[in-house]
Amino acid sequence: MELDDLKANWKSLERELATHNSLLRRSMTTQRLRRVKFALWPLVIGQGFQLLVGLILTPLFASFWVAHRDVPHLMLCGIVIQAYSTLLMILAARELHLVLTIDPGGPVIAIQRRIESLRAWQIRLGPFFAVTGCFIWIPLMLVIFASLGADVWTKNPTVVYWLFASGLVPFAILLALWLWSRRPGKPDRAQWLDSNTVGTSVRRARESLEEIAAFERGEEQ
Amino acid sequence: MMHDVAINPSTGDLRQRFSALLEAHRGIVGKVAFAYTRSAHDRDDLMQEIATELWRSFHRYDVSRSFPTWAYRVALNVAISHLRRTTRRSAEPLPSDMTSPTPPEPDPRIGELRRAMEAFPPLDRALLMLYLDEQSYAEIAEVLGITETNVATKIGRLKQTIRRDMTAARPDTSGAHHGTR
Repeated sequence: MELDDLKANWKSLERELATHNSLLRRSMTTQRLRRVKFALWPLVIGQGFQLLVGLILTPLFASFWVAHRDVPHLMLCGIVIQAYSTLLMILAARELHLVLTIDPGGPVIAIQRRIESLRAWQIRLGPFFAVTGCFIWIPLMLVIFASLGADVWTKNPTVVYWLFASGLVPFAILLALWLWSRRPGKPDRAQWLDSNTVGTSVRRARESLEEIAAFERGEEQ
Repeated sequence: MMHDVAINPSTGDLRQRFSALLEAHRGIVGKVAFAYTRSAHDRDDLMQEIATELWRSFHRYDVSRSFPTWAYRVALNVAISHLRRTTRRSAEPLPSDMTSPTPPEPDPRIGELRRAMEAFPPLDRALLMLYLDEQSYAEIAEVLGITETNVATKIGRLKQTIRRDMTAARPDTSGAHHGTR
């Protein structure tokens, strides 16, 4: 069997496809094309909304801690929330930029590398948000209550301890699961956790990127 | 290479011009969809997805450049992403998506072609498809974004791989194949 033998088979495919164009014609009706034009809006609106919320809230958080410079615990909460809000805003802006600037009409290698890099980056952010998400709502609650005139920490610190304990529960579960999966001599556990969380996704994204890089370098895969 | 249908995005009906260009090069969509799917049903779905993305990206198309090259790039980017997505969903390892049996093709030649395609990772499959579609090395290099030298090297390797692997697999398909030649 030679590569050029496949060309004869390719001609058979071309003949078969020539009799199969009604589907493509149906796809290209004016009505369908008009609908397609708006297909990207949900994604763009979602990311844009996140960015907009960040733009509105970040200055409010900044003004909060500036106004509470004389109350260290409130200033600290305000700084933490402002930093987190700024981070979310930057991530939304970056993702929006990457999504909007991916031109599928670009060279296949470059576009595939970009898509896979974006995917790998999104996957890696997952554990970060899982861990920070366990606690970030606590300073947010304190900031909200303080803005409403109730300094929870000063009035009743026990409430803050309870909030912190509530955050510790999901964090402890995450940590215990991770430690359980990493016990020596139990590789099947790590494999199970990876396959049920992001490990496999990270590995596949990395493999895809390596495959693209090897193809570009002209290496055998 | 210039496209077959003259277009100017500043005047006239963009949709009509797009439809005319796509009609003139309709084979691209079907061939790329074939190379990255395993059944006629999946191929039809991917054809729709590619046609949709072509239209969505049409405003970025530079009229001074070749429409087929642009269309191949869009179609391949959509198809490769589609293959990676479906492979991830079904928890099958890349590069091959051959863990479940491929539905039989009515034409054994097309079946043989599909088996040959499926044996390659997504990017090599793109190279093979463009080669079989008789694109020049320069055109293949432009579509994929690699050098012509790299294209030539890879085509040489593809030839060796197909000679080795397809010949080894021949006893399974020889009866059907000889019957059609």
